[in-house]
Amino acid sequence: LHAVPVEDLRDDVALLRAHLAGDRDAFGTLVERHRDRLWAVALRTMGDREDAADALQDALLSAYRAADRFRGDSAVTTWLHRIVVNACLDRIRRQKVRPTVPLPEVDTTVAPAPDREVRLDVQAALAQLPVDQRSALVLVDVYGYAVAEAAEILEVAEGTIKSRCARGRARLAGLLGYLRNPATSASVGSEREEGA
Amino acid sequence: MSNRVDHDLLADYVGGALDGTPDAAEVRRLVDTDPDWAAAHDTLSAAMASVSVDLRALGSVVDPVPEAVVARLDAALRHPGSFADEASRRADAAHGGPRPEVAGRAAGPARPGGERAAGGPGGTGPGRERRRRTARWAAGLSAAAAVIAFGIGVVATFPTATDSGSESTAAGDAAAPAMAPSPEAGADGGGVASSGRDYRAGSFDGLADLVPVPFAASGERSNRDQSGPKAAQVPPADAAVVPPELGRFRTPAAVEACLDAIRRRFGGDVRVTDLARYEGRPAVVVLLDTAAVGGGRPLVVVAGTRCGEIPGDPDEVYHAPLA
Repeated sequence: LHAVPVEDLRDDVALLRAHLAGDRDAFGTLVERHRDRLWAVALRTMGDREDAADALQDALLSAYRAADRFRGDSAVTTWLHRIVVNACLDRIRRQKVRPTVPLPEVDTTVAPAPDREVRLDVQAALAQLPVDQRSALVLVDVYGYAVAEAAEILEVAEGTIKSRCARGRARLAGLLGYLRNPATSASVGSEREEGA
Repeated sequence: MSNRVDHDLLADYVGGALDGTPDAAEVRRLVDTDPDWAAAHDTLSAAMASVSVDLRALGSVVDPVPEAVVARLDAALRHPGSFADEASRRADAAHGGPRPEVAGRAAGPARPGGERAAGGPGGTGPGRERRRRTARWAAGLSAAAAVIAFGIGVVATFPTATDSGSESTAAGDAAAPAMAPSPEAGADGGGVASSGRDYRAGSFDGLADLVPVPFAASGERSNRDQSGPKAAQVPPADAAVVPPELGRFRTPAAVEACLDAIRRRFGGDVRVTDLARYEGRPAVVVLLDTAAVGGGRPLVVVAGTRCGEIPGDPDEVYHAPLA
């Protein structure tokens, strides 16, 4: 006979409460439930697997220890994403160097070659954006979060998210060769001041 | 508005950031009437649409969490104290300090091609550091495999050099994503004061006149010979008046994480940071110049003991312009 893992049916808030109440498995279950998405966001934001792993570990330890700070005014996933993104941004700002471009040694079977080339180009270009634009684009354009949710995660106004995304796209357009005059995109600022 | 194409504004317009604002109508008018704006609009719209397609394609590619990273996270969450100290060492290394090997730091895949191309053997630049990291990650894979195979009992045998009273193992420090001060820590904030005051709402007399003790002096004092010249910069009474609940802010990284969270929320530059009390409770009292709120006046922000524990969260207690 083989033991069949039983899915934990508790919702995220219940798991967080259970963790605070001393349930040793609850936080792990919560992490396991959202780990892939959190990893993806960390990876695209950091642009480097090792740095992404470091940032994700920092973030999850923070969340583990400070679970009682969850106020319940947003979804647990939003709270977790906020912590992960902030850990990434903190790490990037402290490094004061542009993140490196991920290397193609992993997942070579995931995408066919032509897509893979585009993917690496886009990732490389993404890594050249200011971190505020990059984090907004990772959430909204790469992973399809609503502008409102991205605004909640990044704790800025929705207009700021729209501006960061718009200017980030414009800058990427130059970097990716979609504009005949890439210098045009180089002049694009970080975000619109009004609405911030 | 000048007829010269404003690419920032045009990007905002195309991206919908101007929706509902007077600027939207103005840009629309320019696009409708000015050939330069019209051409730029058409080009940028098409280009941004293509970029969005590329970004969506990037998101559609599944990048599963590497098993080694999964194992590392599992281990970290089972032994958060140990990994808090590890985070400290990692950050120290990132800022030029020692970076000892830590068992249990099992993570990402080796990166043979890129690492070899990064620089020559025996170099001292980033390439060398990256190769060291790769070597550690590769070495850590065996530890990760051990974690997977044997579970928590194996992890417990890893040397941690923690839980011995070191401040860096405190829960609060674990939350700081990096444990060393940022390069600009000295320029923005420059250290901390410890006035021993118990501030009240609307009463922050003397805060602006405090002279912070540089981080380096604080570190020297807490860790080394307290009679040395740098230690002499720290007023002898300071340590006695810092509320014990604020002990973790004796490390510059914890202070910087807190100040970073405050700056992120309020903007501006830190003029002074006082480890003190607010209405009887331990608090980090910060005076900001050129903050985004406060009508141009210096802004007082009172943060709780958990300021910066979660990256970006100042644990705000109070804020108001300095009277």
